[in-house]
Amino acid sequence: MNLWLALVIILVSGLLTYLLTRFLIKVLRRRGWLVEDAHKPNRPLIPRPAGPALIISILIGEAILYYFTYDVRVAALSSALLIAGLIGLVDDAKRLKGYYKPLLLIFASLPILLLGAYVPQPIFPIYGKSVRLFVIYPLLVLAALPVTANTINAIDVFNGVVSSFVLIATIPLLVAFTLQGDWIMLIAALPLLTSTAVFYFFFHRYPSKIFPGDSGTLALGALYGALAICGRAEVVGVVALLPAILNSFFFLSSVKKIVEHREVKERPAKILEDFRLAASPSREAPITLTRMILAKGPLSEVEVARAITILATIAAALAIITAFLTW
Amino acid sequence: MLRRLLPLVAILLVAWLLVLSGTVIIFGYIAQFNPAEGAISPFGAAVLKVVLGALLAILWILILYLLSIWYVRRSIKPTS
Repeated sequence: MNLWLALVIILVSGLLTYLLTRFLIKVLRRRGWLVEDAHKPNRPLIPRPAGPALIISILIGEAILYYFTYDVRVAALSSALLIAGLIGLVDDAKRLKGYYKPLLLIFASLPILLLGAYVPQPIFPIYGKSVRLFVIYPLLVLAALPVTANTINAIDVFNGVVSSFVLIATIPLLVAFTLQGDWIMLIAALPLLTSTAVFYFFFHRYPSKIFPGDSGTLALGALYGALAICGRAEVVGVVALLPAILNSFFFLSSVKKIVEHREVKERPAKILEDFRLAASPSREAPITLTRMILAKGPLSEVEVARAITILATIAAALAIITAFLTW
Repeated sequence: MLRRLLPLVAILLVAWLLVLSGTVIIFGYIAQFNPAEGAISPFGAAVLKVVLGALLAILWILILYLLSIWYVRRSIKPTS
């Protein structure tokens, strides 16, 4: 039964992602919802956002799971995904200011609290015991989804990066849910994995045919955070996201305020004549993961994306070790 | 490529160790700390836990910040 349910959900959300993304590429092109791909010669115009395709596909996968389980956590995950996706859609249509997004994304955390889809007794690696955090934990839940959603949003810098990053970072969560024997959360994570993996990555890999937009990245990031909280894999989730979290941390600590990347005057990287990327030498430029990767010399877009993927893979391996240190 | 990424992998490893040690120390020991009766008031104990937790978090942030600054300044020659 569980295996069949998992297969049905993988197929439905995967195929829907494929079909809806194809459909969306045509619609967005026709309506002129296009943005420049700044890292390529001639700056081609690429449709954006793919978020609605991802959100609908994952939601339908989760709805099937909810129909068979009536698990309140699945409802909380779906609500978090939908709320973050809608905030992202507003941001795609009308740019929100830097600090609005984190504030609005607190609403995405609310379903987890209101539906009671969390256990305020996280289990920590090495320590091995659950710790009662009845007061602090709900506050951490409120902060968690804005953090995961924004960090995933901030890593969306090059073709194929965010989709491959989410795909790789989801694997440790699957390991954690398996170690806990939580098959509902295991299946609940599958729509995220299948949608972002083969089916969306096919369109998003270099050269991208469509960009996820803020609706896509915020929805994926919020769902990721919700999965880690509802599935009691908080520390595993944090470790798997470390490259993205460090990217945001470096950015915020060097800029010293919450601003959108596009609002920053000095760019962290510059594009050379041969369209390779080089780290900005300016002291005013923010520190980002990309700038740190480029610190030792220019690279092509594909090479920077590959470097981020390697770091994501190492973080995923550390997260899997963390899972084994926990259960 | 791997050679270029080695310093970043080292930063990632430091961050991982800080996450592991930080969460275990803050939530496993500081948050669970119960002083002997009469040694300190419950309010004083709560304040002490918050201060210790915050100090550890600040130390965590400071280590990563200094690492990132050190790496960028060492690798990129500034123009201004």
